[in-house]
Amino acid sequence: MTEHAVYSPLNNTLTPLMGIDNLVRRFGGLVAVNQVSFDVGVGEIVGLIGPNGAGKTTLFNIISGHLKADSGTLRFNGTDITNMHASKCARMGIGRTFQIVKPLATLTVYENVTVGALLNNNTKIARDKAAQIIERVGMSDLMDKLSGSLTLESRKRLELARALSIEPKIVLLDEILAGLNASEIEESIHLIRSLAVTDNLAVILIEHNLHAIMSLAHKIVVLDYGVKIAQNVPDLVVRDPKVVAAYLGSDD
Amino acid sequence: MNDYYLNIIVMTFLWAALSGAWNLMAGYGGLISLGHSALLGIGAYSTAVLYATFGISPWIGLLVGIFLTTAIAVLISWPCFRLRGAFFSLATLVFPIAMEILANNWTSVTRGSSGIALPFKPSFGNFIFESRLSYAVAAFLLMMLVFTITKMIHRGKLGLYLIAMRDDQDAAESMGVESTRIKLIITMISAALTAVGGFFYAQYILFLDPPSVFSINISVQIALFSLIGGLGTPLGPIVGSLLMTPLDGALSAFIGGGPRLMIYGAVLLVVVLAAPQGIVGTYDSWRKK
Repeated sequence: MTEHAVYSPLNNTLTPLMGIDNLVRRFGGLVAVNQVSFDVGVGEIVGLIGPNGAGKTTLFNIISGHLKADSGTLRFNGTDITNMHASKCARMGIGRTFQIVKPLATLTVYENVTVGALLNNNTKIARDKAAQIIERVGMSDLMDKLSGSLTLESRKRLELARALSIEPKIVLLDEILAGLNASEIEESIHLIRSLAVTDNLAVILIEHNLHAIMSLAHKIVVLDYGVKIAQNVPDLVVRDPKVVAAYLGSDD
Repeated sequence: MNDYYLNIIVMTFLWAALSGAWNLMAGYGGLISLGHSALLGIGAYSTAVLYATFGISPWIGLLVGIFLTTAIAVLISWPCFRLRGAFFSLATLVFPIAMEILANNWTSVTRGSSGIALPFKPSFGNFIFESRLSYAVAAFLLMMLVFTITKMIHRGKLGLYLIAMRDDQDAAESMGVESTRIKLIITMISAALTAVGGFFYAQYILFLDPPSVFSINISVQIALFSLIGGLGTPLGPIVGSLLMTPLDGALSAFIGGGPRLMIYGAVLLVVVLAAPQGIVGTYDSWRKK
């Protein structure tokens, strides 16, 4: 805990909720995530950006336990959770969405969210909580629909509802705004901000929508070819020459 | 009622129970096992060997069979759990083939291909009855036991977790579902119930040889009744067996040979084409519309 910078947007004397330290993941010869480190504080929204293939989703998969890291450590809430199994990570309080949506297709929206709510509650309370979360993400009218029959936009919302269903301490949101129209994006921005402000959740947000990430993030981490090339507050990160080069780079 | 019809009734209930036990793994957990004839056989042989060779009460044989079958099912399926979908099925297919070879060659215990004849000494203590009606009642109770357990799982947390895992294992795990643990639980329940079916089979038929229980055909038939009736529904295996077992019985009695298989196949084809989710599954989704 001593080696991590003390960080929180609200109170900089707090220790970080999550400490990502020198994580490395290789796929054959490709280093998808290369010695990435940063901290996430309680109630903090971290924007994770970078060109396609920069390793953002791979990093998410390591944090959520769906992929093993080759080296580096991951600390969460005072515990070393490096390479812990995905279901254990969920039990620790790490919720996530999937960029390529994964609805439980033969179950209704309600049942999808109830699965997660059952983690910490008995059946009756889980049902109530699931209904509340569904209302919060604005899907009440779709509650009894089979999730396999939803539109992509609704499936993205369902991903968010499911991530919240386990009553997480941190949520990893992987491009949940992609494909939404302007007013839906505003709604979602509002919702994500309320998660951090009202519920004190930490949020890591992968997003290509620059408007959303600029207005939401307390700090932005930029990945390029698996390497962290910048970390700063939003206004400064977008002016960083290395970031500009990564996006508009000379080669492509 | 004569013995011929009673036999069909007994077998209908027994197949419904066996298929129902299989349905727990396949219909809810997405674990399409082709190894269930091996579980049936281990259950049957446990009882038969202890009773016929050592004179030990079949009720003790039943307990030994449940324990052995469950333990072996866990040992065999655990390494297979990392395989998803059809690869799991293919891995489990090897199991009954291996067991049949073992049973044929381990003659000191199984008496090999000549089989084991169980002495006919009717009594409740031996679970052997003069009247087939008693067997029909017992088979009905077994079927209802499987149905009740399925119904409870279907409504409860385990069922929801299993279906979630079947639909998408990664998504389920991201919500804290421990897939290996629930796969083990449902495998143990399924294996234990299948072992009870094996015990019943041994005490009813009173003769066991390796192909009669370990044959792949048995595995396929166990799966087939659930597929016809409705995978992942409590009633499906019962409906499947109610349709197909008497049909097979009638066809064997009145037609036989090649034409029997042709008609059986044709009925299968019609059901699969008309009701791809099985009879109960198709009815359910038709009613929801």
